[in-house]
Amino acid sequence: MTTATTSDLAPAVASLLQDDLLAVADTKLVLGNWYTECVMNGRSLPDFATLLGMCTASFGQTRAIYRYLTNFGHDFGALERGRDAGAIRSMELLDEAPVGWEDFLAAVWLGELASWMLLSGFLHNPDRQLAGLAKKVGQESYFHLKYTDGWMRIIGEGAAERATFLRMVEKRLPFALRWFGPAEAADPLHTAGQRDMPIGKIREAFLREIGKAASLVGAPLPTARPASFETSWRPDARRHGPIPAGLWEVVRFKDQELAF
Amino acid sequence: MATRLKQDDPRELALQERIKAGFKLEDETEMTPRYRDVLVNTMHIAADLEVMTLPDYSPAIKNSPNLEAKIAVASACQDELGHAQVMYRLLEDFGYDTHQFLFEREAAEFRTFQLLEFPHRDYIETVVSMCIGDRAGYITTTDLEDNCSFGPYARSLRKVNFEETFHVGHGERWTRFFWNQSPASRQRVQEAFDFYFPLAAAWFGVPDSMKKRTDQLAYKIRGASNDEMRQKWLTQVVPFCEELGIRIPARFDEETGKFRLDYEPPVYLDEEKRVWHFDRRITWEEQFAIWKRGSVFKVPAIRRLQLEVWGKELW
Amino acid sequence: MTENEKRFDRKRERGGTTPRYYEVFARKSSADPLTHVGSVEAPNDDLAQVRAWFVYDQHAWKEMCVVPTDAIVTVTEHGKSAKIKMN
Ligand SMILES: [Fe+2]
Ligand SMILES: [Fe+2]
Repeated sequence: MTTATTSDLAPAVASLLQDDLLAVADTKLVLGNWYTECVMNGRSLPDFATLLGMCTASFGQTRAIYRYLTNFGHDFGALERGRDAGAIRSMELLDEAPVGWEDFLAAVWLGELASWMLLSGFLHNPDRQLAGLAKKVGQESYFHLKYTDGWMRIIGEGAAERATFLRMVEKRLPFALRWFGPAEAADPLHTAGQRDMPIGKIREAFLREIGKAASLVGAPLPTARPASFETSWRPDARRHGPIPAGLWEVVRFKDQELAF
Repeated sequence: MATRLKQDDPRELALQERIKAGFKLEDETEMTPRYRDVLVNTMHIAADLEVMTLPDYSPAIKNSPNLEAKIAVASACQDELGHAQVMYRLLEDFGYDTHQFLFEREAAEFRTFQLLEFPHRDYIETVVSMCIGDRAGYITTTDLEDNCSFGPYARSLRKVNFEETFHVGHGERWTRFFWNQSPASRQRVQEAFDFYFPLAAAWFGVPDSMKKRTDQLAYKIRGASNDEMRQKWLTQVVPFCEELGIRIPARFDEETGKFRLDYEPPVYLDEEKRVWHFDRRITWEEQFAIWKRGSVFKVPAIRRLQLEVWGKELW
Repeated sequence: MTENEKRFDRKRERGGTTPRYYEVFARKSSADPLTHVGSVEAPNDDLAQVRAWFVYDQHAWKEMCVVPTDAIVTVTEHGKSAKIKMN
């Protein structure tokens, strides 16, 4: 069996592929930091271990994708520590700190689901290394999403909590949708045989998954349209502008004299 | 109310005899009140110590220099909170309510050790703590796994100890790495040892000479005495430090053929400056009071687990 | 912004007034027996699965299952607490 590698790609396609992978990797980096910041807000003893496990896995996924990107000539250390707030490509959905447990769950759920859906588009990528990476992330995402499923069931049993949760989903969902981009009919990565299906289809599948949560929450989930795209939209980063200064202060690696 | 049996009550002595012959208890119904007290007390402290690692170790995730380090700290913390789950679960069978115990108990009531009452400020403190602190914990929990006469506890520690070997190994490996990375990092490793070594040495408690009789040993909850475990710890730590050149206040004593501390505990710790005054002895009463009070970080650290912090407080 | 005491709804978050437990079983390879590896508290099956996965992750298990502790009928331990003893 022949295995395609990154060096076989046309430069424009390779560049788009790297953009998407970096957007997922940086989103996982920010998610990992969300778990780090919020673990002590956990609501049961086994949840502390669970949130730390999700934290570990998220950083692990970032590391795995950065490593994969070295196939394109990137330097791992430069990806990890050589970029400033303007170069981090995390989901705008995660910019704003959660204001409570329901908001935390809404954001983490949407962030985990959207990033997994995007990566799932590479499950059959001609480069088996990338396909394997997507599969591995999928196996981990399964548990992360099961965690939010379990909590949605609990939230669904409380009227006030459910209302708060739905409000938070409504607030964050437009940003999750915008992350998939304007989703024009033509997807160059799909056309080039790199993405299993056009990104527009992935976004539709994402919305369908959101809808399915109604059975967990016991109420229909809000339907939303993507937040509008400003002229400052950076298609390569799937976001506008740099990540907020406060979040950057959390995310940036400290104590650089110890880096190895 | 259950009648308290003295340790030399015939029923207590009979149980001690059976245990000495290798009998393992599996259920509360097989216990005498005194056995139960000693066992529950031991598990209670061990469980609280595991929980304390969350506020103690996790700040280092935030300050770690790269992904590798973040992953290492987060995953070790995940293990520790899993250990806490295992131990509190056992306590539930003795009437403990984990939830209440964790979220509604007065923070000052948590039974932690001083070693875990100074939240780690950076990755170096964490790897040094793993190297000598997790090692101290590992020595106590392997002793329990090997000897504890309560079968469920001994069995549950298999997982715990399996994971602890990774913490100790990680600590050793990265202590060695930072010792050799740069003069600045070497200096920081030394400073971490200066502060943490006496705290870790104190993990094993008071010297045997201060204890008249130990229920833990009589009921074979544990197999080794405080001094025996401390000696085992020194046997590992002193040669490791000597090999690298890390200065610690302990050495091998040719005369006795044993390792020993260069100072006679208890000694005064300036908690604020994090400096030990080895020449300034304090009384055991003073030491017990310090341990009971906890560091200035103890209560806020535990309170953080009972509170939720959101929004602008996060970033 | 906010720093509050955590407030709990025991019924929803713990599955009742007393905690609900699941026993965890796992095997490393097809040659190994499925053995009891521990116990985890959860109010629903989803959380039981995830918590078991993250608490008992000492091995890369080939197979893991959870069983509500209530569903276990003791055979030899008749008359004693029906808890499953840690593996
Ligand atoms: Fe532990
Ligand atoms: Fe440990």
